[in-house]
Amino acid sequence: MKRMIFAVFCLTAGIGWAQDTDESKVEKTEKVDLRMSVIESIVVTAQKAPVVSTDEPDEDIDAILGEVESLENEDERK
Amino acid sequence: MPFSRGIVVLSIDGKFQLIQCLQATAERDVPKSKLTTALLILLPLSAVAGYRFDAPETYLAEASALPAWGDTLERHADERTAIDDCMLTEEKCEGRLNGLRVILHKGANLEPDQQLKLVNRYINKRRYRRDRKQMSLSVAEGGQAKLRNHWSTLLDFLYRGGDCEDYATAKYFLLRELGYQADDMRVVVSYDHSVRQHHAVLAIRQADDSSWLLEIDNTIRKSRQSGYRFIYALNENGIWDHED
Repeated sequence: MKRMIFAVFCLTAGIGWAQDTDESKVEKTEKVDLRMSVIESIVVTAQKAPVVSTDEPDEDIDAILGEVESLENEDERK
Repeated sequence: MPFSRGIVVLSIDGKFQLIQCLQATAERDVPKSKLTTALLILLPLSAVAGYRFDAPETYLAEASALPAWGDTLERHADERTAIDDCMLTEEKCEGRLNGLRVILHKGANLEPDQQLKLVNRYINKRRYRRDRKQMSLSVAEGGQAKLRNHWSTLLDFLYRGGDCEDYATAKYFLLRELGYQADDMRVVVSYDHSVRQHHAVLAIRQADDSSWLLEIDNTIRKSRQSGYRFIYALNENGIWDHED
């Protein structure tokens, strides 16, 4: 009899835990969906236009960018 | 002058409440010099802190959970064929791919610091253009159309330019081509207090867990203070939520 009661108790607790787990999963999914909806609604609008570089000069980088600019100018002339 | 008593708790995410001050009443006649002043931080700490990669609890969802971003990742994957062909054979390079080939070939031989500078300056030279026309219209439930951000691929941006989130995504894709790991980079959308608008910037994780922000004015912000309030971040592996 005691074993039966204990078994019923474990079964009931197990069912209750499973239901809680399912509910918390649903809650988590709903929370993620809500946050995703908020994130999607954020529109990036900062109007920052590039300004003249204040970066330190670097000969290697300047050379590479100079070569790229020449190629692009040549391409635009075609 | 009477002072009211309260409690201020300064939490690590910058929220604050009233802290305990001394209560002086006319009867006690406590001199002002002895009064303890409450610390009221007007700006949340998070607004000035650097971007943190090491916050796993902020992971929100897979990259595909944001449809526009998922679409961009797919389009970039398709474009990689053209990029790879161009890298292998110069004759297969057309238009902007010629310049990109030089960047990738010569950039591969630079030190990491120089690579970041090169990518930052190369992308920042592109035309700035507000992408309202490029924003995708999505029809939400109920039939009401909403404007959503359009995230550029690398080639999108090289040919058409864009605005700040497009600069950030272009830098992300270009650094991936140079071998940088996705887990070490995120396109971070933040609120810029100086212009009171949402801004996007690329964050690069460093060996000491600090992060560098590649800005649109060619600076690489290495300070642990950014002036931004981070909202969310994304890369090809996920989306992170930095708001409460």
